[in-house]
Amino acid sequence: MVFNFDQLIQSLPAGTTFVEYIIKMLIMFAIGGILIYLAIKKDYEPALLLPIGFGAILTNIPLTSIVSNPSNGDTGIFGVLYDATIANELLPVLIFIAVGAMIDFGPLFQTPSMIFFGAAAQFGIFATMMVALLLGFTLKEAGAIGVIGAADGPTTIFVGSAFGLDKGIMGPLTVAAYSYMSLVPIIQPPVIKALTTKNERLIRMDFKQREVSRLTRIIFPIIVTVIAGIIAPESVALIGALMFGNLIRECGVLARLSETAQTTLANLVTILLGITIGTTMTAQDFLTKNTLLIMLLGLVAFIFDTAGGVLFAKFLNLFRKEKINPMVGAAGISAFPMSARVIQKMAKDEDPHNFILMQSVAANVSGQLGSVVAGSMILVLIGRIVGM
Amino acid sequence: MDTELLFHGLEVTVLGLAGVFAALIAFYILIIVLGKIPVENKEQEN
Repeated sequence: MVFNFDQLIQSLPAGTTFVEYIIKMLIMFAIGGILIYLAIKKDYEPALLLPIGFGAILTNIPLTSIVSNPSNGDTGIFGVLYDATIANELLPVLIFIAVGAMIDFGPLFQTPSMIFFGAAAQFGIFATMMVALLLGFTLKEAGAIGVIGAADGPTTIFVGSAFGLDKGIMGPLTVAAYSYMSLVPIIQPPVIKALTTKNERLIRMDFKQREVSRLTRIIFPIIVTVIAGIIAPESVALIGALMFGNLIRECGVLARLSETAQTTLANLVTILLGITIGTTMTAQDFLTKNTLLIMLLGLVAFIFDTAGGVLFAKFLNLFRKEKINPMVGAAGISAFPMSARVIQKMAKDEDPHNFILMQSVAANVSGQLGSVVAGSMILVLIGRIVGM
Repeated sequence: MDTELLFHGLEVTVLGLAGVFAALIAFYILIIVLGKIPVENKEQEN
């Protein structure tokens, strides 16, 4: 089919002039271009931002039928992919198998108390949900927006899909979740510095290295799945996938599957997830006031989560003899292992001989668990209120 | 602002945070208990 100008005019959304349509298309091309630039030039989550950026360009080409045919409304190939992989929560669950296979819970067994930062740093999810409600979002939308703060892209998509949010919300939600995940090194340090004194940032923490038995590593993912399932049954899909991946890693007899989950599966799912989400970013759905608000609220959520972890550490220090470096609390978000690395770098900048990486990693893997449970609690509680 | 919606939000916040802490406290106890399983000599050699 060649380009048909008359057909383009007929397919314009109601109330949109040709000039408005072209301007919006160019803005979306620019947004796609910026995402690709950030991926390639700045190395911000390139595996996701590049496919999302390209998808955003693809879907805004006039008269394209990749999502749906403008003349007869038939579902296009990316529309089919969206329905078959994101709307039914398939890809977020699959990516959790890959993430689980990548996680080493060893540091958490060395410093178990760090697990509480994985809970405290979820404060931002709920605080942001309240702000979103005040701004006029529905309970379902507000809950999904809050999850951005956990720095957990798959959980954000999972919650949004489970709530059946439309593509106009899912696009900005996903872009915000993954953009902020990649901006951890930029967002977290100023928040941490604003909430801590130099002396607090200089606190050193003891770390006693000890072996963790293989039996422990095998039993842990199984029992965690059962406990999480009892507390929040809706979490079983996500935490079950996460822990299944971890069991493959730790069982010691499935090295090839573990390797496949960490590389091939993760790569395949990432490619499909990125480009499919990108194609939901049509100008009509994306260039709205809600998109701007969601991006802003995502930032607020991220700041609240970081602050929640840091302030909880400071609170614990009121009662502890052995003080915790409050920066570790900020690693309780789910962006693994980026957040732990950022905290260690900050500690090293203050004192080149301060080593708090293991405690930060322990808090960071706890954040993975905490964000999945928090997302599941939102699903359970909001689901009950709205009668899902 | 719909007051009922705000109350629902507060309900989700309080119960949600309680649920997250309850789950992670349970995981903490699990880690402490499982951490007591001794490492076998064979594993140490590996």
